[in-house]
Amino acid sequence: MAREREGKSFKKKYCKLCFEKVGFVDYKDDKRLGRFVTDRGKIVPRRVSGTCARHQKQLTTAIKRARVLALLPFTSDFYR
Amino acid sequence: MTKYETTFILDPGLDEAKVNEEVDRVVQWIKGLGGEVLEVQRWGKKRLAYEIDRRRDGIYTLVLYEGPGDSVKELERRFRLNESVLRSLTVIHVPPELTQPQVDADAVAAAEDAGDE
Repeated sequence: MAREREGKSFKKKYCKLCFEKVGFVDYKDDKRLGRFVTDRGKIVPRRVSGTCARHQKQLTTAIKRARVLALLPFTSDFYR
Repeated sequence: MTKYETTFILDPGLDEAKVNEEVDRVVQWIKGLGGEVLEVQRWGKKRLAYEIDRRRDGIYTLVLYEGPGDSVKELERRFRLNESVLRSLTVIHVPPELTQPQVDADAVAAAEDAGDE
């Protein structure tokens, strides 16, 4: 739920993939996967992105597969 | 028989004829191993997210086929022996109607922007 703290308001998180009605997260869809990794190339945790359990599970597998095919980085060049 | 999809990355230095030859060879291999090729998708030359063997680009090809499980093992073994292939990945095929979103990504991005304060 959206909570009120001093000076800050929170927006309720929701699963972006459910909103887009993605049935199955595909490793070839590097544009979509790119939204769920940080600029260091890490997978964004569910507590941050708000992704539901089912989609997060599919996401991790898809991101890891995409990394093998060099569609996504294991780590970004900048920090290497 | 299971449907598999194999994506492999070829050396960007290869010319068109050589690339065609490699792809045709893979198709022939699958047939030879008792499989049936359903689709060949050529993504063309793409930038790699990280360097593989000092190469920044790669020629991506996806082959969708149906075949026995043993064929996957043999195909991957041959890929490893082939120096033109930088990388390959075989996964069990998921029908595309499941992967396609019902709402397009641009509309979602617009909705998200509107939602942010």
